[in-house]
Amino acid sequence: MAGSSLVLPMVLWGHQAPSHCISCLLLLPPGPSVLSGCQDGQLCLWDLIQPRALLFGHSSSITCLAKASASQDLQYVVSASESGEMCLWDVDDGRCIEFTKLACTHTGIQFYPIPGGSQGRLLCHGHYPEILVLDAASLEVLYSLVSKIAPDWISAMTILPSQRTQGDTVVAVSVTGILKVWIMGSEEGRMQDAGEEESKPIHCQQCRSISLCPSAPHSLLVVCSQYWRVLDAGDYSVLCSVSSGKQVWSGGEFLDPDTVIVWNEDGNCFIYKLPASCLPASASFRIDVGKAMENLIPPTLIHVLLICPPVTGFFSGLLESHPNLLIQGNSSGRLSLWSIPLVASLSLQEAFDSLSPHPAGIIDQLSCIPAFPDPLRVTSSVYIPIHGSLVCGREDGSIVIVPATQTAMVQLLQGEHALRRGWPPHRTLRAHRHRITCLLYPHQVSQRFHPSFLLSGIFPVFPLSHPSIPSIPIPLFPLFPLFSPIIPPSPSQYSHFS
Amino acid sequence: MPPCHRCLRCGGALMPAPAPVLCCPQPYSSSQSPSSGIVAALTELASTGAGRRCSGVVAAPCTGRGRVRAQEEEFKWLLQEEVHVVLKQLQDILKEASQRFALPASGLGGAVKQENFVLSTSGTDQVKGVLTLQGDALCQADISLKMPRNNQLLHFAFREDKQWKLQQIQDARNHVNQAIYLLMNRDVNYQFKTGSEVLKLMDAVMLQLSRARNRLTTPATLTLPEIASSGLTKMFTPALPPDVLVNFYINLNKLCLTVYQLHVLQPSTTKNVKLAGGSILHNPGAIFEFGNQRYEVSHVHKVECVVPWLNDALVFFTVSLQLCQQLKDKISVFSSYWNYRPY
Repeated sequence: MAGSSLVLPMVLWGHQAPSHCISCLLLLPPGPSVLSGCQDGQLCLWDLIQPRALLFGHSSSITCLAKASASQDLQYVVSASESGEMCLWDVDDGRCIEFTKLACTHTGIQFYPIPGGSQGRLLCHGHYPEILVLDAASLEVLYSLVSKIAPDWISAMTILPSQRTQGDTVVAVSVTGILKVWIMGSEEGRMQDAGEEESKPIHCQQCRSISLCPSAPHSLLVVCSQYWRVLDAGDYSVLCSVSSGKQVWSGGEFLDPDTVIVWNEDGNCFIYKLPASCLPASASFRIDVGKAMENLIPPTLIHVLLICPPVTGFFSGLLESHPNLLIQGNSSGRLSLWSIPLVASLSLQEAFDSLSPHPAGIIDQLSCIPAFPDPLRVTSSVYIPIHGSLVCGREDGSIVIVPATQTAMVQLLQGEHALRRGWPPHRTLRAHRHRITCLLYPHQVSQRFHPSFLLSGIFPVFPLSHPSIPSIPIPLFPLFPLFSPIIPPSPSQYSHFS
Repeated sequence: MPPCHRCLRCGGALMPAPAPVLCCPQPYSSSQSPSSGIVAALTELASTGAGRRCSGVVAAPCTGRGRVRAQEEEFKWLLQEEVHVVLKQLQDILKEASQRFALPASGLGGAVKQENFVLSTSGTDQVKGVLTLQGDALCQADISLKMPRNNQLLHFAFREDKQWKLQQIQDARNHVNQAIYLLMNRDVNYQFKTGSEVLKLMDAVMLQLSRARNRLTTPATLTLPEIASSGLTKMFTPALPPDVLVNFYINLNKLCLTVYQLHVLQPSTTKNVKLAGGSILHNPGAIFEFGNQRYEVSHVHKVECVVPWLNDALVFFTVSLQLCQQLKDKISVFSSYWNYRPY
């Protein structure tokens, strides 16, 4: 809502929790709280395990989240979206401190603290052939790590702490399967692009993650969709390799120097014990280097977590020592038992259902249909500040115009008036037979358009101020649904819709 | 009143939909006629998958519970059979598109064909460029420029050791490969359980495809100082004269070369001038600052040449986007019908 100088953003909540298809996660100690990013572009902050706040700042799917401060006191987090937007958030109060938009999409961000300082850098990779180094406080691009040999998009990256006197190394794998190494030397006087130190094809197509064992940084775990491999962090030779069979790996980490956990796209996790040839402490370390892939000693699968096909039973509250016990028997006669520590799970919808009183919704009280539990859904809406009205398109094709302030009142002030049928005063326009996919108010985008025009759905135009005039259907290209207008900058009589 | 139900398998529309919801992809019709290779590829695809017609017609009673059951059956068929047919078609088309980019898949430097393109305009012969494209890199370039003042002919070429990568091509190829990867993860054995699952997949594929298309259709907007400081100016032998700037990019299906001729502005005349911002093509008269010196663009020459396989790829992108949207339409016919309530 906009007054003469004050703009007050306002969200109208309904009974239904907003959709939150989670696309990435970040755990924030010491709270602990969890930040989740979703495909609609919102972030949700969970205080284990109650949702605390929804953060609005992105217009498209969140691609990655990363910590953005070195100290524990400052809870800064950076988020990036499909459309190249980046936001820096203060997680304590949910404020967006910094916003920037680049032309390229980031698919991964890692925080890199500058040794001996409170400042930090963000290393970003994505749909571009470099690694961009950004200032973590201003989100300004400082310089980039470029490839001289076969540059291509970077699909995964990790930072290895410095072994000797030289600086920390950045190890990345490009989409064509070439491993690249950069040295993050001292930054003094180095604000220009740096070429890679090493470039070696490791034939890892569709690399999903690359990670290092924190306690023994001698081996690297590279997870690709079809297989995962352990590499020697010194010369990047393959120590062991496991192919995925039919499933698709999506990530993995070291648990110990000799155990790794790998998970796949179906949500199953696997824990493997690595063979001796992968362990630097062992006498047989590297005995397999140079052998053909199929001759390497395979790691032993020691645990499969939460796999579906075998028979699984869950027994809760029966044993005092293990309140939640998962027992699984598979076709080979093996019985496995897990004690699941109770880490709660809660969906946004459950959190919404537990609220009292319930959120009022936008126009829920106008949309109740006898004999149906849920009100008619609002499928699109637009706020028109100069009329002070909120226009809602519904799934049955009707459009409801209500005064925005009164709708906001229902949201903020509980009272009898909110329950009265037919309140607030409204006007309903009926011309469509299908759900309204979008509502556009062209005057808001450009002064060229007459303030009385409202564009709805795909076909007709309604003149807003004159309900007596019939709607004017204008056929637009029917192939793709309409979402937003793009108005050419020069004064022209056409506008484009996409 | 909901309209009467008709069989979706044989092309009948359940609702007065804007387009028939189930049909093979329309032959591509556009102002640019597709090259002959692509016609052959699309015809082949049509004969294997898309031209298939429904043989069995489900007789759907128009009333009550029978109608609901018939629809449930049909929705099940859509999820189990039809979706996979479309996904296969999409995969075939996109693999065809990906092959057009003709890049080595493993980065091992397999032999990629070199193609020569002659860039010129029909009217004047002020600028002529002969460019050699190898995958996504320009490995040779010969530019001749006739100076307008004294008709002196300048000639410069890439240094032997230099290549210029066209990032637009690499990005488009990577986006297509990501779309193919998304489709391959849902092979014939995968069972779709809900319509929204299919919609999500289609949205993800369409996002990659529109990104791929947009990378080719919208070149980067650069400021003149960015062009002046880019590595491209240092790639030529003999070196470019200080008053000449060049830029290469892809615009739609064309490989473009722009040459800017500059003159230095005297410090006294440069009060209150507006510096030029970012643009794909700068006009004569644009003023910029570079190296403590102000320059004005005096002449702009743009020459271009159609790259046939880029044209093919763009056609494939459009056809695939249409297929995705049609599948989304088919799915949403059901969801909108099931949510439908008389008010």
